[in-house]
Amino acid sequence: MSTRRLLELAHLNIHNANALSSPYTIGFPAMTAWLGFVHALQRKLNAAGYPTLELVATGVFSHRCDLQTHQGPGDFVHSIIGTANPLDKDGKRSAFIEEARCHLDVSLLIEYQAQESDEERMQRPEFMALLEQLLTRMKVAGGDLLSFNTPQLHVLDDSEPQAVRRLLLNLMPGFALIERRELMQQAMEEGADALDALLEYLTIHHSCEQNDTGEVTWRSQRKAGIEGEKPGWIVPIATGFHGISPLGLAKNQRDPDTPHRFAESIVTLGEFRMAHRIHSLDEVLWHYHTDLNRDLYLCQQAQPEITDTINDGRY
Amino acid sequence: MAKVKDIASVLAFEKKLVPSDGFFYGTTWDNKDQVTPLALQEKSVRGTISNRLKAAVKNDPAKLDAEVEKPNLQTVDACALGTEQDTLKHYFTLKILGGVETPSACNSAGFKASYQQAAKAYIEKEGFTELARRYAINIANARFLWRNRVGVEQIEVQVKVLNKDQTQSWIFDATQYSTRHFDYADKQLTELTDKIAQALAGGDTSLLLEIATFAQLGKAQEVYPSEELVLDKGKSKKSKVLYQVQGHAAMHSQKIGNALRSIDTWYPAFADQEKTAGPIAIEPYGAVTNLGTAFRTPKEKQDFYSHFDKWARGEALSRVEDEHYVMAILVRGGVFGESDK
Repeated sequence: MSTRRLLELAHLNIHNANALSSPYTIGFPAMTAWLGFVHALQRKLNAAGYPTLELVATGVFSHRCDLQTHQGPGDFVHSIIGTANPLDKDGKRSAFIEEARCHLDVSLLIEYQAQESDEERMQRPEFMALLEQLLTRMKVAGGDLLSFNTPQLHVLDDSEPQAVRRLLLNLMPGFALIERRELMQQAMEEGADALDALLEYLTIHHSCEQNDTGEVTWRSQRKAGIEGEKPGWIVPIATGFHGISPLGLAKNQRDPDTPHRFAESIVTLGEFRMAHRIHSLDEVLWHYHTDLNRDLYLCQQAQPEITDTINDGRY
Repeated sequence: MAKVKDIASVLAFEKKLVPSDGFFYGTTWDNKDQVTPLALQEKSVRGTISNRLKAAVKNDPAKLDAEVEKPNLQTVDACALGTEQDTLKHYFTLKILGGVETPSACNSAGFKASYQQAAKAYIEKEGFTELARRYAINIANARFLWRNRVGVEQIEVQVKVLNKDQTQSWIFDATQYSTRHFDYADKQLTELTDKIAQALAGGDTSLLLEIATFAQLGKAQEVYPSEELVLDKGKSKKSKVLYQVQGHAAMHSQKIGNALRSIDTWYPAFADQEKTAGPIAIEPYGAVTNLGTAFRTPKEKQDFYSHFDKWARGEALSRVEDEHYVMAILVRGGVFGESDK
């Protein structure tokens, strides 16, 4: 079919990353944070002598997400573990601002394109040295990048399922984050409003059955489809922004030369799916998409029309 | 008064000393190779009522008896060495980055240019040796052990460079280095200082150090990981929650960072026998949390912002120590934007 060129950044060990994944939820960092990191990396590589290199799409695989919360015995909710900030100028304790943090072990699979000359030079050891030097100095999702495995370049034909499989199995055990916007769309077509549609997939329903002998068995489960199939490990995730003001200038904006626009987050559903259940790279790769007519700035996936594997909700 | 166009309302610096969490292992002084990760233990204890009581209770013997008879039940986290272990191994890695002359965010080109000029002039003149020497001494004296350092018989700090193709390493006897002053200069320290100074001054370079510390505390002695700040504990009665990473007792990276940058001996009260707090951590207001005091107040014009506003716009500071202090804050990192009001 087509040749894919991939840069694998395996086991990025990230410390104290921002775990505010959307305005309403905490957990795995938002998709915008991951694509933002990859975009920053591309800019640095462009500036460092690879002007035609483009990092076009990114797959995110989580091996560990250690959310900094505490749940004591008997507690129903988790509480955020905070950080104490230094005293202010009067020696008084400054206000506590609750910020959710997490420690992560994440692998990124980045598809790249470049012109032939840059492409050739990327195969040389200098490129790897440069890449490692740049990565050491970068932050990811607001956290410190403490260590990472040696980056690797792969060139593979994605009509070769064996090659794709080998690559993905390297990332085991790990969970790929994939977009499940269609679940929201379905629910909203059936008349639910956005928040209801989101919550419905996250709520755990408890139900009980009584059999002939009078024994009661309780079952707790999340929403299942009509035929009882389970939708998988569904999480709410922020995937972009919706502009709510015209382009213009704002006071104290970060870059005085670029027009500014106020925006709100777009939250939809995503799924963590274990790497061995992924069959094509398109299932996991996210890329930027803008729809300026509707003021949308999105991170999205090429939506596969039909997945031939039936998801039974097991990992 | 600065020109209005040179005000940077968005100004931020990333930290240049990036420590990992510190992990706790139990081992023995004679066989340091054999280590086991330490886990937290939960204890429930029957305490006494020992807080100050209200006058009404204090002066009525019957009420006092009733009060102190009440058991004060507590659940706390604790961490200790094993019965056959006499030594704590404390392990972390430290990344040291250069590039302090470039802010990570700045929205005023004019300010950025004048700042960069000042920073480059400092680097050329001082080469970061004074700051690097102090950071190196804080590694060598094992200040980052905090409470675990008190009453220890022997401490050994092993420092190793982890960068590719580099094999340097040093071993320091931490008991030979006081945490009260920085008047040391031996061969090992000079080597480590040079390494750190090169990394800080080197623009886009980085240095990765591995720091393993062995502290001989005595068999089965208690050790002190970081305590977690849980403001809203819900119903749970646990009054002390300690930090762990997947079951492994640990010290917060922030706490290690604070110890490493405890190099400020340039604040006004340092020379004052009664008021001095020894070397304090580099903070914009010279804040020391456990004393509840800010040692550098804007009133005395000794805080970071007073110095920085002058220095970054090209004015000379009266003492070179003030320049060291300003640069140390930038190495620490933070958000320093200024309002144009």
